[in-house]
Amino acid sequence: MGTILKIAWRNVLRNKRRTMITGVVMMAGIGLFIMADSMLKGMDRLTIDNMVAYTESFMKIRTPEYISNLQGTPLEHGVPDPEAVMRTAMASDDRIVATAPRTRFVANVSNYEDALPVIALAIDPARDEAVFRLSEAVVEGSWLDSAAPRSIVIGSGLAAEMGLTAGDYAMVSASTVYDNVNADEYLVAGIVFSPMPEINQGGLFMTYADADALLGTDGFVSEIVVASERMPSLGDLLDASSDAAARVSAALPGLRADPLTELAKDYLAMRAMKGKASYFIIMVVLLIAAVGIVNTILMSVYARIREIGVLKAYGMPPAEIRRLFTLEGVIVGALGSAAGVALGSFLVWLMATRGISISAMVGDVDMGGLPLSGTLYGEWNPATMAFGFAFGIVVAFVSARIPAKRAARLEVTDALRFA
Amino acid sequence: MSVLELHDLTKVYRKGESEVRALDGVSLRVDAGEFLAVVGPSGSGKTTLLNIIGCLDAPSSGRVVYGGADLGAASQKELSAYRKDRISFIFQSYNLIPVLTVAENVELPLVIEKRHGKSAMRAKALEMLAAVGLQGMENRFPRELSGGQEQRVAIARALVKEPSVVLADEPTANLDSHTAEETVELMRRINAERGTTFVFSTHDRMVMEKAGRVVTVRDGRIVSDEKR
Amino acid sequence: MKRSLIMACALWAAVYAWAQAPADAPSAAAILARIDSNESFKSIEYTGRMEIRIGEEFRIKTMRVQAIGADKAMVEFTNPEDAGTRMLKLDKDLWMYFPKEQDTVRISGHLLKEGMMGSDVSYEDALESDELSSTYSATVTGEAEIGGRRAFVVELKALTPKAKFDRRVMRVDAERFVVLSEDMYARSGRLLKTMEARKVERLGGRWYPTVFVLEDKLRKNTSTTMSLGSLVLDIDLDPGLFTRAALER
Repeated sequence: MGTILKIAWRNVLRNKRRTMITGVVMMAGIGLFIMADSMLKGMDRLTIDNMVAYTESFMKIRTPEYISNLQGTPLEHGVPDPEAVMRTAMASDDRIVATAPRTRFVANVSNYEDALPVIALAIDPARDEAVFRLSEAVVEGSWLDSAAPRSIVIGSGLAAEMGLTAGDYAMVSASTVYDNVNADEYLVAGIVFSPMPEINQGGLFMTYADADALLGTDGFVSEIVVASERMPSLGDLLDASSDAAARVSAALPGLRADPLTELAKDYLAMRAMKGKASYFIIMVVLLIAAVGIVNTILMSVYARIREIGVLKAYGMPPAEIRRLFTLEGVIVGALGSAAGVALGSFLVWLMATRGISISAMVGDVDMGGLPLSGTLYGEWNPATMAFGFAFGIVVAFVSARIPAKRAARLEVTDALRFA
Repeated sequence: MSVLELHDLTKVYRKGESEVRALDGVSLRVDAGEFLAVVGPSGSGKTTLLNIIGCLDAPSSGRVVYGGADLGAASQKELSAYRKDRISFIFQSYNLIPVLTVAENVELPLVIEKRHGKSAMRAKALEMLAAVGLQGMENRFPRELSGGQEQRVAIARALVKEPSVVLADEPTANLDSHTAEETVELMRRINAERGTTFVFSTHDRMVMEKAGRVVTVRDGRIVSDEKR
Repeated sequence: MKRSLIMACALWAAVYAWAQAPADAPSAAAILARIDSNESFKSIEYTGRMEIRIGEEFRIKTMRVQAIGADKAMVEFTNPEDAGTRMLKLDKDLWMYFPKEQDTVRISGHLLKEGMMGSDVSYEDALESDELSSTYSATVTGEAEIGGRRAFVVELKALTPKAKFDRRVMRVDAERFVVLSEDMYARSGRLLKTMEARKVERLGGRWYPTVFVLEDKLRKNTSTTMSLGSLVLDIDLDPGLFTRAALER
C-alpha cells in the first residue's frame, strides 16, 4: 500500500497543471459553497434577530383560543391576569430577562383624505422597551410616553404614504370590544423606521390607556412578549426559545408559549428552501469538478498504459491497479477540498469580522417583505465545512473510480505490446 | 530438467469475419538455465509465442506446462498469480515507473509479491543493483539515467524476485551497439552465475550469436531450433 | 331635608323640559317606536345602486341584496366590472366569491364596518335594520325644517355600549316618522357618519327612505348616494339562499 500511495501521490505532484486545474475548480466550488452557506446562516441570524428585536420577541404567551383565532385579531380570548402570568414566566426560566404585555388590534389610520388599515399594538412603553428595540428605531419625534396621552407612533412607510410627520394629528378608528366603531384623533408623537417592513408599512403603537379608551377594553392583553439574554448562535437561540417555551407552557396551564420556531415558521420554511438552493449550487460546481477528475484520471490512465502493463505483467491484481488510480483522484480531491475549506474559511472570516451592509448591497430594494436590513455578518458553521470537505472527497472518489476501473480492466497484452 | 514445455500450441485471433492463425502447432521445451533467443520477422507469431511463454496470454489449444503444472487452460487470474511468483520481464523501452526511484523500481516486484518486509526488500534491491553495477544510484529517478543504465535497472528489477524465467522483449533494440553488447554480457553473466533461465526476442545478430539456443518462428510454426 | 331638595329639583327639571318641547310633539319614545315601525324589518330585498363620489370622481356600483335579520345576507353585484361577484354574510362571517377566478375568499369580520366596495356605505348599513327603541334613550330637543318638511330633532343616547353608535342626532319627519337626516357619533364624541334622505316612498303601510346620501366623516370629500329599487320588506326568503353552495352556484 505504501508504494501505491507513493506512486499516486508522486503522479499527482508530477502532473501539476492537471492537478491545479481540477483542484482550483474544487476549491472554488467548495469555498463558494461554504461562503454561501455562511451568508445564508448570517441572513437567518440577522432575520431572526430582527424578528426577535422588533415583532416576535423570544416567545409569545397567548391563550390557545386566541391563537386559533389569530387571523381575526379578536378582542377576546386574552391572557387572564397578565401580571401574574408575567411573574410566572420570569420565574420559570433563567434565560428570560424581561416581559411585556401587548394587545393587537386592527385599526384604520386616516389623514382625513385617505384611510389605511393597520395592525395596531397597544403597549406599555416602558416595559415594551425592555423587550423590543423599537424605541431605538424612532427616526422622527419620540417614542411613546405613558405620561403623554392621546399619542401614537407609526411606521415610516405609513407616515410617508399618509403625508404625516411627527407633530401632525391622525384619526384612528377601530372596532371596539362592543363590536361597533370608535374613532379618535391622536398626535403622531414619533415615526419608526425598523428592519421590519410590516412595522414600517403598517405599524401603529399606542399606550394601553389610549387603547382601552378607543376599544372599550379594560386592560385586555392579547399576548405576553418575552425577552431573553443574547444567545451566541442562531441554533442556540432557537433551541433556548423552544426549551424555555416548553417550561413556560408547563408553568402556565391554560396558556400556550410559542417559541421562535413557531413564530418564525414561515421564514424558517422558506430558509429551508434557500438551503436546498445552495446545495444545488454545490452539486453543479462539484459535478463540473467531477468531470474534471474523471478527465484528469483518464488522461493519467492513457499516459501510463505501459506502466499499467508492467504492473500487470509483474502480477499486480486488477483491484490494486484500480486502487492506485482511485487514490490519485482522491488525493486531487482532498487537495482541492482542503483548499476549498481554506478559501471558504477565509471568506467566512472576512464576512464574520467585517460584515456586509445589506443596504449598501441592495439599496432600498424591497426584499420581498423580508426583514433584512442592517449589517449582515457571516456565521461560522463547522458542519458545513466538514460536509464540503467530505463531499469533495466523495465526489473525487466516485469520479476517479470510473477511469480507474478502465485501467484495471486493460488487457496486459494490449498494455504492453510486444514488438 | 525442463522449466517449461509447450505442446502443440495454437492461437487463433478473430479479426471480423476472418481468422488469423498466429500459432499453428508449436511445441518447445525449455530447460533450466537456458539462454534462448526467439527470432523471426514481424507477423511470424513470435510476439504471440512470447506472450504465452510469459503467461500474459493463453493459447487457443495445446498444453503449457510450467514446472510440471499445466497452465494451458488457466484463467487470467491464475496466469497473473503464476507470473507474480515465477516470471519476470524486461522490455525494449525499459518501462521503469518514472515517479519511483531506482531502488523503488527494483523493489516493485517484491512489493507486488508481498512476501518480504520493508528492510528485506530494500536489501535485496541494493544487492541486485550492485550485481548490475549500479551501486550508489539507488536514489536517482529513471529520467536521470542513461538508456543503458535504465535497462540495467530493469534487469535488476527482473531478477530481484529470483524468477524461474526472465522474458525479455528486444532488450537491446533501443541501445547503441556498445551498450547493447554490455547489456547482453550482463544477462549472460547472470544466467551463468545464477542459473536464471532467459527467453528473449531479438533482431540483433550480435545478440543471437551470444544465445545458447536460437528458435526461429515463421508463419506460426517453429522452422528451426539450433543449439550452439 | 336633602332628599326633598333633590325631589324639588327633579320636578322643576321635568316641568322645564315639558315647557321647552313643542306643544303637539309626541314623546321621544313614541317617535322612536314610530320610526321602528316604518324602518325596521325582518327581511329585505332590493336592487341597489351606489353612486360613490371620492373627490371629483364618481363610481357606480349596482347590486341585488337579500337579507334576513342581522345574520343572513347575500349580495350580488351587477355593475359590469364586478358582475357576478357575490358576498355571503352569516352572522359575523363574510365570504366573497369571485367568478373570474372561481374562488371564494373568507374576509375578516372587521370589514363589516368598512365601506362596501370603497363606498361610504358599510355592510351593516346596507344589510341590517336598526331597532332604535330597545337600544337608545331619546329626547326631543327641538324642531327643524328639512326639504320643506317639518321635522323633530331627536337626540339618541345608547343604552348599551353595544349600540352601533354612542349618540345620534336625527331629524324625523313630523308626519311620516321617517329619519330625514342623521348625525352619528362614536363613543369618543367624534362624528363618524351623516345620512340624508333624498327620497321617501310609501310601501304598503309604511314610509321608507329609498334614496339617501351617506358620508363617512373619517374621510373628507367622499359621499355615497344609495338608491333602493324594487324594495320589498318582510317577505319570506328561502334560507337556502344564504349558504356557501348558493354563493358559489
